[in-house]
Amino acid sequence: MTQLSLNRISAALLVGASLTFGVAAMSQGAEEPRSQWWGPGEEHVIGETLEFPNEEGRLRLINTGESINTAGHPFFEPLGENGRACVTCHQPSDAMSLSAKTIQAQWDATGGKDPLFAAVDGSNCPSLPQGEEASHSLLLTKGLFRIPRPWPPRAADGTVIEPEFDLEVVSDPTGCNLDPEWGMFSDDPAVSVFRRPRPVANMKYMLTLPNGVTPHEYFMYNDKSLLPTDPETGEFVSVQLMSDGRLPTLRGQAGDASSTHLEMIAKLSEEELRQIEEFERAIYVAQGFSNQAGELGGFGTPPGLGPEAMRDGPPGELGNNPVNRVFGTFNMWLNQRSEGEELTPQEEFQASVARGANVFFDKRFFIQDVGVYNDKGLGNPFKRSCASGCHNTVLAGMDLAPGFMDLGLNNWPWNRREDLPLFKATCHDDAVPQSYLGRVIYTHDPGRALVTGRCSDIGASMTQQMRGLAARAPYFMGGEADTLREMVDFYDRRFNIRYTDQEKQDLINFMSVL
Amino acid sequence: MRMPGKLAPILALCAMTVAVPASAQEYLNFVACPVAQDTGERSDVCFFVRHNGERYGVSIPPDWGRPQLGHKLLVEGNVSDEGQECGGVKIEGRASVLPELSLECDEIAPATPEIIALKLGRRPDITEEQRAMILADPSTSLQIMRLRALPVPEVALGQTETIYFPFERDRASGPDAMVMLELARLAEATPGVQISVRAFRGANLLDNGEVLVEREEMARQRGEKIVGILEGLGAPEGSIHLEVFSEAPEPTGRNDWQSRRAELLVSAPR
Ligand code: HEC
Repeated sequence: MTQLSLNRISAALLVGASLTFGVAAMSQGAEEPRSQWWGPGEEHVIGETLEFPNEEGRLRLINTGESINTAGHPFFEPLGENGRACVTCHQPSDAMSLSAKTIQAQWDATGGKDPLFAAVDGSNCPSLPQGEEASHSLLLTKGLFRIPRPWPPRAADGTVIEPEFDLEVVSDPTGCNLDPEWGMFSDDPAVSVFRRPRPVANMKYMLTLPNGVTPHEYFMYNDKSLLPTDPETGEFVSVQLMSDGRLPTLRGQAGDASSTHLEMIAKLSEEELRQIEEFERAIYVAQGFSNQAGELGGFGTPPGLGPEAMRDGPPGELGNNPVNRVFGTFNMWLNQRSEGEELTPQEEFQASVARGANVFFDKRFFIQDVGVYNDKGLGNPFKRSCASGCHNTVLAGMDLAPGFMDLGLNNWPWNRREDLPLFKATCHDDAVPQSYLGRVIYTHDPGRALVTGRCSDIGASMTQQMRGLAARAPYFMGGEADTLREMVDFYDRRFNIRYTDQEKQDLINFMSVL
Repeated sequence: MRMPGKLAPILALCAMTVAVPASAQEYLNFVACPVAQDTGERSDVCFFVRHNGERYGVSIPPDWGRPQLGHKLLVEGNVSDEGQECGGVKIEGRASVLPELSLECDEIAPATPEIIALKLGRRPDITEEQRAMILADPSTSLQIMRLRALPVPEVALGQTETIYFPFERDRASGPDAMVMLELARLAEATPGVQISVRAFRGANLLDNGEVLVEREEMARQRGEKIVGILEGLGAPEGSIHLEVFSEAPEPTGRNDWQSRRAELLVSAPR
């Protein structure tokens, strides 16, 4: 027997184990599931399939590459000074992101000693007394890591970009933006913003340039400037990676993460970079089983569910024509019984999911005053559904059009947060103003503008993929929504959609099976 | 009567004060708040403007940039007597979203039965045949369906291509981006190629006598952006000659939108 097939067997056993475990957890009701934490340097085998229970069912991860032993693999090894590995913040059980629930459990299990809580970005500010919960409150409550960005912004080659706006710190609850060592007036001036880790899986969807929407495999949608290029190959790249698109390739991203998050002094070797990228490209995640809807994927279930659909689906394609749907049809879960016949609880839930999918695909509302979106030619307002407005990439659900937008999550007046820093951006008179907020903008995270220096980009970010949501609350770049309900409520409020309670529940159920 | 018959009910409905529509072929040049017109539950919004008691819809080139609430609209073009636009008299020309905020422009007109009857902004629905296909094989709901590709423009050596811009913008439309793509390909394939980019700043004489002049740096901004795009698309280094015309032209009140432009010429060495 070859090594490979041996590993396949162990993987199969692992699946078996987690399946039984999932069932056991369900039958025992309230019992807390055993920790699914993968620590740096631990040995795990990633064969073809792994499953991880979560509150809604089980997340399934599939590996299309060779079986992987995590021991010795650069994604899983603590390569830097602080004992972290990439897996510290990109956990398989959490859809290769990291939920606040997992973070809290890890705090409790280690008394805050886990390298996850490293001062550099796992605390509100490195200058705070480490080891106290209050110093890590953003991570513990919202799953937010500190991202220090150079101020003024720097281009990829290190040259300074003259920003079109001045930035003042209005409120600094973490202390980090005014900190003499880490803040905006330090020797190495930086703006600290706080962001959620993004899932590192289903990468072909993130990396493939949009197909069939020429000229947008060359041009940004927003302002028709060119897309960035891969510094190594010179090829145009999508801007789907990272909330602000600052690092458009997996290799660039890994290199940056190793020095920032891992505090690695040496550079990742060619071989390490190769292994990391190969792994990231090989894995697919999605919810695989729903406690209430049953199996997700396979015959008779909606064709867009489960990680197998992600593996087999076409990347870079536009969905939500009336025929092709972003996540495929769910209609087989509607009307499963003839009139008068009673639905089983499972069928009832499935029907709710299907209704939610159709609300997501079809229910239109006025999308208004979204910076760098309504002003990119579409008009203000623009009337579309969730799926046809922005979440239109087949199977993955982020916006296929290469571009950023300010939904209102980072800027006043649509969102106000007490826990995040607040900046006042004053744009220069000769700058094109932000389309709906003008030249004076209160922002918790200038987003894309910290990359471009442009006034019109303040608060803009890149939409995220929508898979494995049940495993990785809180949602949005700044962890705004603790639950899917809060996410739906945000949209309802922001765009005055007036979803009924039933529609809200249907949408939530729909998102819980992605 | 100049107006197509089907417009009559809408105009009646809008109860305009003594509507004296501009006559056909008249050229109009004015700034007004756009109004967003809802057109029904399953269809898009369109935009109109009210001017001298008349309701006008502006027909603009694809991806040129649709009107935006929160901003005034500069309308320039010929009144057309063909068809309607957004339930109003059609203006063939250009409409520019002015960059500065105008929060007073905030009207969304609800979809009335008369508007719905015009069937504006409808998108194709799924057919019974397609529905049956998906029922029989659900995976067909995930098939690849691409938008119709933009036509590939024909470009040639020695032929000037002109890109027009909305007021104080440097954003080219999708079709203009296609032109740049083709020009860069042509340039790449032409040994010793020379590219001339001439970028202009525009000015506009409104019907009320007011003159709108673009910011001084618009010509440079447009020119440099185009140069960067052509180079990024593969035009040989050093082949591009940029001329910037930052002097504002004398506006005439007729087709002033043509002053906001850039001219691109790819030629073989002489
Ligand atoms: C301390 C936590 C942490 C560690 C450790 C970490 N990351 Fe991340 N990762 C993040 C955060 C936060 C983001 C989102 C940043 C943003 O949007 O600005 C992210 C984003 C990413 C993304 C972009 C995903 C997407 O779809 O946008 C990739 C890829 C990635 N990380 C890979 C890695 C690799 C490889 C390593 C190890 C070398 C690593 N990460 C280590 C926190 C971490």
